[in-house]
This record gives sequence, C-alpha cells and structure tokens, in this order.
Amino acid sequence: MNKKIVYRLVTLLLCMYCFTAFSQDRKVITGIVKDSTGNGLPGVTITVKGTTTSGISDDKGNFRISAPEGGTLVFSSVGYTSKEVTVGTDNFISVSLDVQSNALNEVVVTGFGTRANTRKLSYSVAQVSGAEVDRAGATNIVNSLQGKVAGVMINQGAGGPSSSSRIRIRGNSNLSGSTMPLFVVDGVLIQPNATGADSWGDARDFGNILKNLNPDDYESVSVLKGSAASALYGSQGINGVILITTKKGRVRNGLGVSVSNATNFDQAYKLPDFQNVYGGGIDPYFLSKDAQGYDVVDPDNGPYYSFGPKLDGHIVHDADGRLVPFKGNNLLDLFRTGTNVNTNVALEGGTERTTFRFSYSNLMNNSVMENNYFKRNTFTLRATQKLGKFINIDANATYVTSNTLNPILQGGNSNPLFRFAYSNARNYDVDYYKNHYIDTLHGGSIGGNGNPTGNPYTRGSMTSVFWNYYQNRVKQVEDNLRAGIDITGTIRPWLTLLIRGNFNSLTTTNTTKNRGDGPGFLGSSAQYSRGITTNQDFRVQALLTAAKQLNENLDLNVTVGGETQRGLGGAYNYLSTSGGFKNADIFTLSNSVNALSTDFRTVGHERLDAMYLYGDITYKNMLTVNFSGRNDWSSTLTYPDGHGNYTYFYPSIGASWIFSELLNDNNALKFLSFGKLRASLGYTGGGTDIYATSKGTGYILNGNYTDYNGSLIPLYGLNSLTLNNQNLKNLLAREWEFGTELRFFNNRLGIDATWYRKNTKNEVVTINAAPETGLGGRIINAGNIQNQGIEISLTGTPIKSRNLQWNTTFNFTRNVNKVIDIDAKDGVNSYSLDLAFGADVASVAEVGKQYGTITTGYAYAYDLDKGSKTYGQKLLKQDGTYWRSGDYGQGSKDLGTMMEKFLLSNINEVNYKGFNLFVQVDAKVGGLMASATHQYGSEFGSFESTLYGRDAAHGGVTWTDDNGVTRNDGVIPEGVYASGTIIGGTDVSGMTYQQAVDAGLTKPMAAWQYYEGIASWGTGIREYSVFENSWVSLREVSIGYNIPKSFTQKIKFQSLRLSLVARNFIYLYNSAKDHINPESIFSSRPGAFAEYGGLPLIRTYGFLVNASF
Amino acid sequence: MSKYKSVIFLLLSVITIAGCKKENFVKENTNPEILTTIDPAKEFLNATLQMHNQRFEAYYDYYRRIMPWMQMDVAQTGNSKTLVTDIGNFGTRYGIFYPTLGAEIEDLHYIINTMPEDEKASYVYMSNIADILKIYYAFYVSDIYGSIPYREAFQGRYGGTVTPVYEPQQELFALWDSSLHAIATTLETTQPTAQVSLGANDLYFQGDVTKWSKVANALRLRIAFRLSKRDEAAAKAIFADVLSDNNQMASNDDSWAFYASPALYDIYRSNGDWDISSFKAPRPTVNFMIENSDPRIRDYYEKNNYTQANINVAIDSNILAPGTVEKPNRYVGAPISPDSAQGKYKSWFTPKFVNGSLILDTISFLKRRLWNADYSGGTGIVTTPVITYADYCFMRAEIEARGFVTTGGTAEEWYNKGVEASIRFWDDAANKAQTEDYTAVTDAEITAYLMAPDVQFDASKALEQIAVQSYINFEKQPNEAWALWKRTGMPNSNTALALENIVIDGTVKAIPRRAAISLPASNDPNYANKEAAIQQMQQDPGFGSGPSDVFGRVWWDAQ
Repeated sequence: MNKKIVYRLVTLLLCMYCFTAFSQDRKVITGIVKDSTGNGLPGVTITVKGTTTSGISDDKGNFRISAPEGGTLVFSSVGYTSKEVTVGTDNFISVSLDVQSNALNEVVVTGFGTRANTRKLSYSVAQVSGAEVDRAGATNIVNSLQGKVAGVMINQGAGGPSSSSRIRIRGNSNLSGSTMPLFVVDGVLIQPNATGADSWGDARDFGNILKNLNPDDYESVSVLKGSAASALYGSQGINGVILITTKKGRVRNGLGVSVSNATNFDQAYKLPDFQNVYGGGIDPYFLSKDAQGYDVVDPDNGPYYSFGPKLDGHIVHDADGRLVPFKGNNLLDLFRTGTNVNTNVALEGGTERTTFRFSYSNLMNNSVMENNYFKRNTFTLRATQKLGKFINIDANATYVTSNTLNPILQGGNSNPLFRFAYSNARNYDVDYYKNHYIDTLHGGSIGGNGNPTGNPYTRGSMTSVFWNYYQNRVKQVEDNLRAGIDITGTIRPWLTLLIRGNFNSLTTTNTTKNRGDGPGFLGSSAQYSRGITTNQDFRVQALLTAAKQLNENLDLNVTVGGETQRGLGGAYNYLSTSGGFKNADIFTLSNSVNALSTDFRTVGHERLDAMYLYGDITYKNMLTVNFSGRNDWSSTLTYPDGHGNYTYFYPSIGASWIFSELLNDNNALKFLSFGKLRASLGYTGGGTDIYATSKGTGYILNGNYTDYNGSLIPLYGLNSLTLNNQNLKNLLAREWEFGTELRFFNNRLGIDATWYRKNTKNEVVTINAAPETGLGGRIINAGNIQNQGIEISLTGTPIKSRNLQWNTTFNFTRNVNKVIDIDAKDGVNSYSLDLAFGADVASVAEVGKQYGTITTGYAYAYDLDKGSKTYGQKLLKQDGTYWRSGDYGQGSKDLGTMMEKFLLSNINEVNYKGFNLFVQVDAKVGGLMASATHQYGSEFGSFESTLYGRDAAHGGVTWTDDNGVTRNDGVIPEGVYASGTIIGGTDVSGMTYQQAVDAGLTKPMAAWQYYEGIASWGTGIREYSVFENSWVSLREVSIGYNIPKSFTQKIKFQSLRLSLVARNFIYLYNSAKDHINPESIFSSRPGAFAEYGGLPLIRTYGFLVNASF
Repeated sequence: MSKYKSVIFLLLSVITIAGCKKENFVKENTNPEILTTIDPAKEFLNATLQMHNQRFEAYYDYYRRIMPWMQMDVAQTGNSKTLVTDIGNFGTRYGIFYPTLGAEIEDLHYIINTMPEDEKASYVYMSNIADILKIYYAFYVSDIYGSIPYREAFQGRYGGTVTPVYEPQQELFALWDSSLHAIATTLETTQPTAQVSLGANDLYFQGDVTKWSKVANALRLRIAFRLSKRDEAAAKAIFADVLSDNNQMASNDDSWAFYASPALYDIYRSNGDWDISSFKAPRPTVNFMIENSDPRIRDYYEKNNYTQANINVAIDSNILAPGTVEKPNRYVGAPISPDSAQGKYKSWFTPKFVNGSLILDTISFLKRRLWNADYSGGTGIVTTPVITYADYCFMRAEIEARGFVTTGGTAEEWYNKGVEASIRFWDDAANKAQTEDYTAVTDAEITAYLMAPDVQFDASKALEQIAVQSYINFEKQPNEAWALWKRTGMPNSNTALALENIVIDGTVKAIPRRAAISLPASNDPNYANKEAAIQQMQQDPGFGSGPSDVFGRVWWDAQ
C-alpha cells in the first residue's frame, strides 16, 4: 500500500535531518511590539520568513527570537496588519502594528489550525475574534455568530437555553439529516448533530454537543466556507468548518489573573398577536344568565373558542362556576425573568520555556420557564513547554459538565404557547389554574388517569401542561472531556514536524422523574428512568512542513502528512420503571410495578485514515498558488464481507493575485489601496453513515412486546425495509469560487466579494421504492445538489480621527440551493426532507426546484378549468368550507421554498476614547415557514387575524342565526362551490357563496364556523398557515468602557472593562402571520420549516465586567 | 536529541503499523447488533402487531368514516354536513399492507425457505398459518381497493420485480380461495416431521393448528359471501366445498380475535387517536336493543348521567324542575342525520351545564372501556374480533336461508347459535375490559332475547334477521358491517333495526362504498401497473366517475 511507503519515507527523511547540525549564522534578537497607542502588544507571532522558526510576544509585548542577519521577521497578530522587518546589525527591534479595519483581518487561522496571511489565500475565510463572540454573553456559540459572517445562516433554537441552533454555510450541500459545519476546537473534531422535535413538536430539545463549548476561552473563530478552504477536512468539512483556537498563556512576570462576569436577564417580551377583544364562546352574546343574574359563560364552547362576547371586564358566571371578571389573559405572566450568569476566572503565566493558562467558567442559566435551567462548568488547561532547542509541546485539556433540566416541550399539546392558542379561550384564568391543577382530593392531576376531569377548564387543556412543567423532572447531564497534544519538532530551520493527538469523550446521562398523575399520585404515568450514552473518539495526525524561500522571488510552503481518526463508539443503556409506581413519589427503579423495561444498544464504530499533501508557492509576495490533495480510507464504505471501494482521492487548487502591487506607481489609481483577485477549485470526497452498507440486511431486536397477561415476548425483525446496496461508493462535491478584495481611500472603504458554485453528487441516500415491492426505500448513490451564490462584505470607516472611529460593515448573502437531480435513471425526482403538522405539509428536495420546497395536499383547491368563468377561484364544499387540493384530486401543491432569498446584516462599531459602541442589525428576506400555532390558534379565534368578520368594524356581515338573534359576525368565504355541489336540492356549482346567500340557499357563516373550517385538524387548509418568514432584528447593542489605566492602576488592576449589552432586542420587522415567533422552528434539521408553539420572543440584556490583575 | 527522535519515530510507527489493512476498516463497519437470522415465528408476531397497532386507521377509517356512515357511532356534537363527502385520510389499510405487513410474511417464508431441507420440513404449518394472515389482509385491502398487487408483490428484497403488476379482484378471490383450501388441507394433515409451533408468537391461538384450519375455512366463507354478489354459482361451489370439511368453528373458543392489554401496551391509550370517548351511541341500534331487551346494550353503550343524585343537584341549581325523577331507561341514542344536529335539533347535542363538576348529557356514550380499556384508570383487556364464531354462525344461517347448500342444520338453528355466541362473546369482552358496571349475562336473558319480537326467528324474514343480528354483532368490525350493507343492502330504513336516512339539507345522501384510489404521479416507481389497473377497473361502469369516486364500487360489489 502506497500509504505505508510514504510514511516510511517521511520517517527516513526525518531521521536524516535530525543528524544534521544547524547553520551557524544566527543571532538572538530581542525587541518589543507595540500597538498604535504605544502599549505593548502581547501574543504577536514573530516568524523568521521562509522558515518555521517563530516566537510569541509576552504580556508586555517583549519578544526574543534567533534569526540570521539579513533575514526577515514577520510580525503578525489576529486583528492587526502584519509587518515585515529585515534583521540588520541591531540586536534590538521595536515594531508597532496597526489595527486593521474591520473584517479584513490579514492573519487568519485556517487549514489545520495554522495562521495564514490572507494575501496568500485563494478562498474566502471569515474570522471573528474571541472577544466579538463573547461580547454579548450568548450561551450558545452558534447564536453569537448570527449576522457576523456573510454566507452563514443561523436559526436560533426554539427550546430554551440548551436548544441547538441551526447553522448552515452556503446552503445545504446535501440531503443528509444535518448540514451543520464541522467544529474544530484546537484540533478536536466536533460534528454537531441536528436535534429537536419531530413534526408533532412534542419533544424537549437538550441540544447537541455545541452547548458544551465555552466561548470565554476563545482566541479566534474562523469560518471556512468553501471546499477549497475545507478540503483538508474531507467530507466532515463538506458543510464548512468552524475553526476555533483557544487562548494560550503568555510569557510574563508572575501570575496573571483575569476575571469576567456576564450577568444577563432573559425577558419573554412578546407573544404572537393574541386578540383580547372577544372571550369564550361561539356566539357573540351570552346564552343565559344564572339565578343571580350573572351572565353565564357557555360551558360547551366558552372554555375553548374565543368567538364569544366582548371581553369588557364585567363579572360573569364562568364555566367553572366561579364569578370572575370577563377579561383576556396574558400568557407572559406565566414566564419569569430568566437569569444568565457566566463567570470566568483565568490564571496564566509563563517563562521562556513554559507557559500555562488555566480557566474555570461557570454558567448558570435559569430560563424564562420555571423549572428549566442550563448549567455549565468548564475547566480548561493549556500548557506549552519547550524541550531543548527543537521541541515544543502544546497540550490542552478541557472538561465540561453541563446539566439541563426540563427544557420546554417545543410544540404540541404540552407546549404552553401552543396550548394557549389551541382550544383555550382568551379568558382562561392562567393565574388561577397554574395553582389549581392538582386534584387535592384524590391526588394526582385533575383529570389525570382515573381522576374526575373537574370543570371544563381542566378538561385536557392546560392542566397537563402545568403538571408536565411543575411536577415532572427530566434531566440531562453531559460530561465532555476534550484533550489534545501538539508536539512540534524543528528539524531544520525550514522543516518542522508536528505530531498531534486529540481525544474526545462524551457521556450523556438522562434521568426522568415523572410524578404519577392518577389518584394517590400513582398511575401508569409515574415513571423513573435512567439512560446513559457513552461515545469516544480520537485522532492522531502527523504533518511534516517545509517552508523555504527558494530565491528572492519565490516562497514555498509544503506539508505532507497523514492522520487516523477512530470513532470508538460506546454504548446506550436504558432502564425504566414500567406500569407506574408501587409507592408514590419514590423515584427509583425498584419502585416499578412491572418488570423494568430496558434498552441496550451499541454506538457504532468508525475509522477514517487520510494522507495529504498541501501547500502554496508565492511569487514576489503577489501571486500565490495553493494546492492540496487528500486521499481517504473510510470504514463506512466497506462491507462486512470485506469488499467495498473505500478509498478515494480529491484535490484542490487555487490562486491569489494581489494585482494592486502592479499599480503602486500609478497615480491615477491612487485611490485603490489594495486589490486582490482569487480563484479556486476544490473537490471534497466523502463516505457515508456508519453501517450504511449493512442497511437492509439481517435482523435486529426491537425490544419486547407485553401481551395481555403481562408476559414479555421479544420482538425481532428486519433491520430495515430498505433495499441494501452492495456497490456504494464515495460522494464527491466540487466547488468553484471566484472572489475579489478591494480597498480604497487608504483602506477607509473595502469590499470583499465572492461568487461560488458547489455541486454535490453521488451522495448515499435512501430513495422511494414502490411500497408494493415490500420495500420502504432503496439506498443508492444519487443526487446533484447545487448551491450557487454571492457573498459581499462591504466595510467602511466613515469617521476616523484620533479619538473617534466609526467602522461599519454590511454583509450580504444570496444563495440559491437548487436540486439538479435526485435519481433520474430510476425516475425519482423528489426526496422528502422534513414534515409539519404531522405529515400534512412537507419540505422536499424536488428536481428543478430549490431545496426545501414546501408542498402540501392540504392546500386550497382551485377551479383549474381555463374555459370556466370562475377559473382560478377557490373551491367551496357544500357547507362553505374549502376543498383541500388533495381531497379534490388536485394532489399536492408547491407553495414555495423555505430557503431565504438573501440575508443582510449591518454591524457598526464606534470607538470614542475608552468607549466602544456596537450595534448590529440583521435581516432575513424570503423563505416560508409553517405554523401549527397559527393554524390551530385560528380555529379557536385566539389571534388578532381572526377578528376579521367578527363585527361590522372588522368586515362582519349582519345575519340572523337559528336562535333568531341578529348578529354581525357573518363571513362570506371567498370562492365558488365545486361542481356537483347541491344545497337544499339546488345545484350551486360555480356559484359564489355570496350568490348562494343572495339566493336564500344558505346563510353567511358565523365567524367561528369560518375559522373552524379553514383551520381545524379535520378540515383545515394548511396553506393558510404557511407564510413568508422575513425579519429584521436589532440583534445586538452593546456599550463598553475601558476604565483608564490611570485609575485601574490605583486599584491594582491591570485593566478593567465594563459593558452593557442587549441581544435579540427587538424585531424591527416580522412578516409572520400574527407575528408568530420567526425563530421558533422546532428542530435544527436542515429541512425543518415549522413551529408548533416554541417560546415567546425573548430578549437578553445585562452587563459584563472584564478585569485583569 | 536522540530521545526526541525516538519519541517521534515511535508515534509515527504507531500510525503506520495500525493503518492500512482493509480488514481493520471492515471490522469497524460491521454492526455487531445485526443478526443473520431469526425465528420465523417472530415475523408472524410482527405482522400481527402491524395489523392491530394502527391508530390512524382507528381515528380516521373507523371512528370518523365507516362507523358514522354505518350508524355505529355519532360525533359528539352530531354528524357534520360533510359526513359523506369528507374522506380525507380515509384508507390507511393499503399503507399498512404495503410494504410492511406483506414484507414481514414474505420474510417468514424467506427464512424458512433458506433453511436446510430437513429443517424446512418442520415449518410447514407455520408457513401455511402465516399465509392465512396474509390472505386475510390482502382481502381486506382489496375489499375496498379492487385490484391490488399480490403474486408479484413483496419480492423487491429478494431480487424480484420492483414493479409488481396489479391483479384483478376476481382473479385474486379465486386464488385466495384455492390457497386457503390448500392451507386448510395441509393444516389438517399430519406432517411426517414434527412441526415447530408458533407458540407465544401467535397472539391469537398460541400455535393451535386446528384452530387455524377452522379460521381458513371461515375466511373462505367470508370471501365467498362477497363473491356471491357477483357470481353466485362460484360462491355456491365454494360453500359446498368448505362445508364438506369436518374442521369447522364450533364455539367461541374458535373465534379469531386479538387481545391486548392497554396498560402495558400503548395501543389503546385514551386521549390519543385511539380515544373513542368523543363519540355517542347511535339511535337506531340503541332503540332496537331497548325494544328487544338486548343484553349487549350494557356492553356496547353507557347510560346517560341523569341519575337521581345528579338530577337532585340540578334541581338545587334551578336547572331542572323540582320533582324531576330518574327515568327507568337511561340509554339514549343520538340521531344520525347531519340535519338532526342542526338548528332547533342542536339542543339534542347540547349538554346541560349544572356546575363546574356536573354537566348533564342526555345522549349515551359508546362503552368507552370496551374500546379504551384504560379509560378512567381501567386495567382491563381489549378485544378486537377478526372472525368470530358468531360471524361464522350467521354465515351458515345465511347459506341455509338462501338455500345455497344444504349441509345439515337449519337457518334457524344457526341463527340462534349465532345470536347466543355473539351475546356471550361480547359479555366476555366487556368482562375482560372491566367495564365499570359489568354484569354477567344470564341464560335467561339470552332465552328471552331469542323470543323477543324482532329477534325470534321468522323464516319469512330470515335474511333480514340474519343481517340485523350480524350488524349488531359487528360492533367492533366496522368494515364487516359496511360490507354486509353493501352486499345485502341491510340493515336499512325498512328493517326491524331501522337505520336512518342520512339527510343533509333535506336531501337523502348516498353513502361511500369504496376507497378513493389515487391517480399515480408520473414519477411513481410503479406508474404503468397502477395506471393499467385503474384502466381495467374503469371498464366496469359501477367503478364510478373516476378512481377517487368513493360512491363507485369494486368488482365484487356488483350493481
């Protein structure tokens, strides 16, 4: 095998060089690096150009490095323009670095964590500094990136602080269940998975592994967007890479201590537009009075529908028999002010040979929902050690333990927001019932299994919601250990060897303590369960890098290396009580009525080996050609019988040309300070899921069936109904990218524009098969998913003076995510991605359309006869409700795509003396979402939009009901009767509803009937609740102040910074019907497009203190 | 220097040595939890659960479609005006059979067929019993879909066609009959090799082969009765052939029924799609049962809550007039027609609010625990009949009454046996379900019922009486009640148990007779065969105005 040979050659080369002595003409240079204000600049990397010799400045900016006379020192630091200085006869060098204008950082972290000068890059990389990520104290690192980087789309999680957010870079490149990028933290690969509820919404989102990342310790976050940038990571990087480097200790005298505290408050500040005009009932008047003369709320409909009398606050005899004022409720009363306190203490120190940094962070986030918290403790140690002259060791270890209790059920009948909108009248007394849901007489909940259902307000309704949140405890604890070591050996001044090892271990423990809701706090709902999942992986990498200045004009950097990744798998063990408890409220397995139910599964193994060669060659610091080639060996493409095409190669090539270098002497073009063109072509290969090659073969155990006399019978069955495929091969993505970077007027104005097109082919997917064949699907290599788009980042410095500077950045993202092919040769042109409303609405990948096309058979049916006078009209059934397209034989209808048209954000940073103001606004334009809350809430008249037709002022028609009462809540549905419709013996086909009313054949529909028809489970038109989801958010505002040194020194502080921050402050615009929360999508799956309740709009505000001693 | 060199060398060696060999990768990607084979009986169990664990079928097909059409339940606020036109989500059985149920039975055969010859010989019974389940379900699908793929179906996994052809119902009926005949014969024949029993994996009969042969015969009769509407001669031949076999159902012990525990197994959990508690008792059957003192009334329906105690509370609240007394009969059925739930009639469906914990409701509920044994904390067992001994008796009675075959026993005898078997079956089911006020049926009640005016056998009205009793017996087999009505037109508004006409806006409405068959999409993997099947069925004018016309008919349901 050629890989073996390469390894041996590398080893041989290494040995040869080790015996060679170093050249002698070097001397030790000392010096200081300062910023533009004259303060020492710590953490600057000093490299001897053309070699891999480097050093770092200490906390005062001092450095020490050995370099040959006449050599060039390159000073670079993230956020500063790098500078080159030639070593002269002087042994002391003083350098000052300029702060770069925003978002045009010249030094970025890329590839396998190496720092690179952006001049050399042939692709677009965005970098966000650790401080920026940390500024507003977002619990979730993903959310803090929202709007900061062009090409990156983020949906915040809808299930509270633990919930995982969806992040997608340059669209969805494939059809798999997660299109989130790979996160790499100091070399540890972290692949986030999608979490969240299914299309019924009824699940708690404990989030993915990203919640265990703590931004406090981050030095920088790089976003590698394209294939050329992420080619080295292979298929794991096919959705892009988020590359995170953590802070290191610095060389300094004594111990440095820094402390930061962020105290934030979460405020549930706005609900969808609930109406507070009409209360319980379906008739706009009270049907009866009680013996005392109080109006009686209709007990049949009053507790559920809000089409009743006006909520005018007068005392009524409520459906539960209480005398209460007839007024609307405010669900916001149910939510508390959440607190989110994050404290970080870091100790650091270092000598020339050793540095260390230890930090501890404690996050305590009590969400807006009672009984819901997310806690996180992070311990991080990073240490570096020089061994002799040639070896550097850089080791890091992070231990995180996070603890989440009772995340909100994201949707369905147990989500408070949904339950309020659905079948719960506006006059429901939240304050009373949140304290009156326990059956104090029998024990358990009112209406719990075996208990009386109480009054109409406790039947179904919110009782079980309160019970669920206040009496049940569902907890997830995660223990995550990440550790890594980098050993760098300098073999020759221009040749280094890096050996890197990483380890990642995650243990997840879930416990459920459900209190019995039946009499005596018993019953089958009482449950205690414990599930533990373990998973471990490691990665070992070796990189041999040569950096050589070949001659005056040519610089060469080449790395050859290899790695092996091992997914060690783990186990899932689950034990639960069954059939309820013997004794109430004792949460232990031995309290089970029946034999324990159990589940044991193996978490699968995986192995990926790779070899690669990459590098760049630069001509005159002006033209750079980058290249890479990688070969993978993936276990996922092997078959248990030993066959399988498991190895594949993929290259990338690119060029960067700083054309402005040629124009330096051209006075006419003086306004152009910098100009660069770049182009790249990158391929990415990839395997498939663990055990996918075995899909559809053999049998598995599916737990036990408990028969009627309590016996357990094991259930064994087919592994899957999918047809196995013995010829799967790797996928291949190809991406073209062209870009330019221009800066004008002395860097006061800059533009970075990128065009790209990426096609992913041969993905391993399961497509439909005719069910009559006994198959649930077929697994094949198929597809051609294309993402094409542009990203523009426009940067300006409108004001720049000694004390005042204003930087502003606009990021624009437009991506078209088109499906070119699914599986044409088998006639398959559609692939289901995700569902909403159970299975009523789907997002699909359909050939010729955008990814995430929303389709439903529950759309309006229309008159499609072009010759007809009523062509294009909606079709009505006999009772005035609408025909669903599917039921009428018109099949499913495409409503558009969930994918946004474009994203736009504007980031402003104003610095005035020690003050710093930051304002970010971001916008999403286009893309559909579906809302179950809107649909079922409309059925019951909960929303403002259902005021239409309720009274004359809202367009209601006057009519007389069966009780002989004249009322103003008549609605004339728009549309014509479908052909063959007969009312009272008269054929009304093609007639409008109005015409039928005029002819005396029918009456106007009562408002409640109209909304019941359009929005109920049985007859509703789901299209009615699928709408554009565009918004403009005032995402982040912060004001920071650096206390002047003159003061901090008096109190023995080295620095002290105070800031006030606000995140997700307000939606300046929200296109969602009834202002449904646009960020309430119940899952981070790529095709998810629907909400089912979620949370109210939540804003976060608070303050931050950063201090160092 | 050499120290570091050796460290590096060591690390590199580790990577190099561990790598490369393909078998290492293969080992990683071999799922340790996949078993190469299983006991074929497990596939029988899977198919059984696939057949009975179908909440969508309960929610849509039964509770909201067939049952109200057949006047077996009534929506809580009265039937809606879209009762006969709203067929959304109707027809889940097709998707239950294809791909899963059929694939499971097919896989049972595959496991057996790939055994060594000597071992295979021990699975003859199991293989045959599995086919009874498969034929039953295929018949159940075809019953409202007409042509379906059968012989070529379920072969995709084993290298067979991925575009199975649809077979016309007439061919399938003949095929199933001959198959069932062969199955019954095989099950009645002692095998040279000792047979492996389905045992506990047979949730119906625990592997009792004789009972399965009786089921095969009863199923032949059921299919032949459908056939008799189209081809009486063919049906007659089948009746004669079946009844020449000595293995016949002889008591409720032979009834094919599924029993499940709601507390342990989630399928009958209330407050979900299985929840029947929002449906009311139908007036026609309730009235018939009251008039004839049918003991099943207490198994099927609940008394309303106008107890004297509740009446007294209502009197205290000035809701009812002082002196109101409890009525002797508290079984009240709901009117069926959507028109009977509108306007001034709406009060029928409007319960009286007394106070926060008491709402008086005139109309009886269906017996909630009979359907959801866990209703209000119950822990009983749910019974789901498939073909019961009572069903069998009524078929025998009809054979005699129509004079199809004479094989001993009179129509009257079989009718009386059927009525008694049905009463005892439902008494047992109510007992198992622990219905709240369960009272065991007495022999005297049965005797009296058999003498009741509309029940006592009258040869001149034999077919009507058999139909009415079959209909009552089909309480939890809505599809059979529907088929009975399609086949015989009974019960109807002129039978002793008088169904109501379904009147919407003053017009008597027709009732759907089959599933809506969807036109295949152009990218349907089996487009050509689906399209051909529809074309073929459309040759029969009775098929309706189009594939989605639910008022059309399948082949057996001849006009």
